[in-house]
Amino acid sequence: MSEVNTPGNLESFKYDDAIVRKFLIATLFWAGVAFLLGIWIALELAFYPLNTNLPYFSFGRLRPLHTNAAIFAFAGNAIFAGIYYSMQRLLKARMFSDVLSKIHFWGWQLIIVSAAITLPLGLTSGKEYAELEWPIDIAITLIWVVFAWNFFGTIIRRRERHLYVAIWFYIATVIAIALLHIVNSLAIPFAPFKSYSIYAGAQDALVQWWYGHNAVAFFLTTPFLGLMYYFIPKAIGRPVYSYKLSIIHFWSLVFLYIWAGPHHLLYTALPEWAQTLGMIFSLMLWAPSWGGMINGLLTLRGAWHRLRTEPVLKFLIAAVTFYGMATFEGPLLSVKSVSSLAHYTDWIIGHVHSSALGWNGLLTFGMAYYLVPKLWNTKLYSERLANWHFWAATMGIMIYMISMWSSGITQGLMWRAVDEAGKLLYPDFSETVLRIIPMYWVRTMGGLLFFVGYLIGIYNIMKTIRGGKAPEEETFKAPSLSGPTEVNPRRLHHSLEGLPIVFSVLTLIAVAAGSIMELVPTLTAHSYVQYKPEDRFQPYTALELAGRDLYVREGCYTCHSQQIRPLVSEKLRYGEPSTLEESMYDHPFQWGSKRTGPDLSRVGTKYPDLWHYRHMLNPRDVTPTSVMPAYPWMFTRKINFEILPKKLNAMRTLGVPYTDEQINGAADQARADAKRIAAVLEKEGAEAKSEDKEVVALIAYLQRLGQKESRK
Amino acid sequence: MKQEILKHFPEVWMTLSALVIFMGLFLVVIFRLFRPSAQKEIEAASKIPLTEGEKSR
Repeated sequence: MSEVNTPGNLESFKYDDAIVRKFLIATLFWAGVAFLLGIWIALELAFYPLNTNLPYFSFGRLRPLHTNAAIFAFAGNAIFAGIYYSMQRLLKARMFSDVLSKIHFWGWQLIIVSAAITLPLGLTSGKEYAELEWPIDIAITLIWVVFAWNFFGTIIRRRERHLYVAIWFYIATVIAIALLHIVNSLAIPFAPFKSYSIYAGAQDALVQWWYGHNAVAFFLTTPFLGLMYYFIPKAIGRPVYSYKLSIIHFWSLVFLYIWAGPHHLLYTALPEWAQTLGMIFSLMLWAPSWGGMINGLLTLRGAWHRLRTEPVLKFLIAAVTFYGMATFEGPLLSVKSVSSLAHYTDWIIGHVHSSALGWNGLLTFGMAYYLVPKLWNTKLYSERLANWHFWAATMGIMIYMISMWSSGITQGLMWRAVDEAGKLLYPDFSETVLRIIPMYWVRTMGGLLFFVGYLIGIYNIMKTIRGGKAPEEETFKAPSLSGPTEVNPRRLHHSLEGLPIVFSVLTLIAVAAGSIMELVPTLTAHSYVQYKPEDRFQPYTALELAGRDLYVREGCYTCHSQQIRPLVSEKLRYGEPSTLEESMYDHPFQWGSKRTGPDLSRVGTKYPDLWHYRHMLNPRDVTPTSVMPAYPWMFTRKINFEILPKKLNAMRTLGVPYTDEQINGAADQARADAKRIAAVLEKEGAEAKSEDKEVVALIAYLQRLGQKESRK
Repeated sequence: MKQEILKHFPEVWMTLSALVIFMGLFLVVIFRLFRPSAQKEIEAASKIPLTEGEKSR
């Protein structure tokens, strides 16, 4: 060995594997929950009665539960299981504190349970992958600090001076996620479980997608790459193909990823310069991502035959292959012209699931099949079942991907189709929905097959655990790091790897560079962008704000967008492209990222109040082929007028120009506005006495969309 | 004050220096990695996952 420690004392230590077992079991449990939720909501799209007409199960409320379960419950616990197992062994040190480990574990599970309770209740912030409201956000921050403390404490206590590449990926994760979560979650609370994002409109959009894309980067990519760099060499018994490549692609990845956020906002009102940065950096990101893929795959060079006989390798290598595919598809989708076709369609959903199921899912199962026999000191119950799991999962993913490519591209093409006369070929949105419903069924089958694979895996793992017994912790020996070393300080990266704090700071700088360059000019735009006076919007009235909060509660943004792109077909279908000013008071922004239903930015005054009334009661009354859930509870639940002054006040704190008069008179004004709408509805044939029902507030809001001021 | 800073953004020398700095850093990392003197440590580093410390029994 070139680096020779002056032998410090030879110390004895044991690894904490109990915590790994806990996290692994949690991973496998929440996997089932996340997958079942996915199948359920997939079925809801194909077969609307499954929405059950109950608030807790409607698509808009369950979709965030599914995404949170998949990302934070399933992938989250998997990451922690893998990190706790691998980092102890890579650093030759037990976790810094068993107590912190336990707090981390139980705290994380508690957070998941709070999500499971609050999200179906509609207690949501309305921002994707950050729906959890402020008390839970605080809990996440605290638990993350506990994790970071335990994590860095272990690094400091290490007996292996050199930080192996997997550890750098973990460091990047710990630092970046803290930054992303805190900045994106900043909000003003006005009720125990409700708050308003401090950002609005285009600024909220950029912060949200800086966060959203980097949640993918630093929660779903970097930790899993770290796990790949540990588990593939372990499973094969060889070092990675090229350690040099891992160093190069690590720094490139960590620096470039942060800038990619705006690729979620192409052709929106986000300033052009930010969109271009997002596109270009996303394209550049292809290189370091494939660096990771190449390293993972080529580690198997000359030993490909082992794929035939070793299920763990099947899972790990397939995962890396899906990673490669997804990290080609991502940059492709980030090209503006491709985005103009794909944005808001199922293609994006296909992309997400090939990555989440293919990369994250298969890697997690590969890791599980590797770990379970070791952690319970036994052999895998059945290799045959593991192979069945693998093939079912892979086939399921392929079916999912292909059906979503098909439906996404079909719908995208139908939306943009214009005939020679310059008219939309498919002016009726619901016609494009009807066309792709068969693909919704196919997608559900794909997901079901993936789930069947999971069930096979669970059975196999349970039988394995039953046949084994968690061993007594083994004692290992390694020299401590105390005492001078002969490390040559002039070898910069080498000494970097021996200096975790410097490393962490440099990672933070890499991550902060893109953040600052994109966020600062956008967040300070009001000081150098002149909003044209004629484009200024009046803030929402109290009743409209009440309605908006219902829109957020029901998760309408999961199916409807509020952002018209400057494309010919969109202008024909929806009206003038959205401007920066139109959403300037929208805390949070609701531009949306999917059109299962049409864009709503200019739906205000397009239909009479009664149309909205009937549509919310039963969408199929006005649109026979609609897949939208019905919202009968909004016709019996009452509007909360009393809280309106608090809401307007919170908004004013955030810069929305409400007057004292408007705030103090909010409840009364809202009641008066509601009475007016109810009278109109009654005259047009709706039920009487609806002036205090939630649907009236929602109608007020919907009729305001795209209108500079409220109706008189 | 901010306007004074922002006025400079279209100046090519700014973006050019950013390009040179970042490409420079990237190339420095690559050159250092491929030096013959670095090879032994790099190989040793890549083997770390395969050594879990001596068992005491």
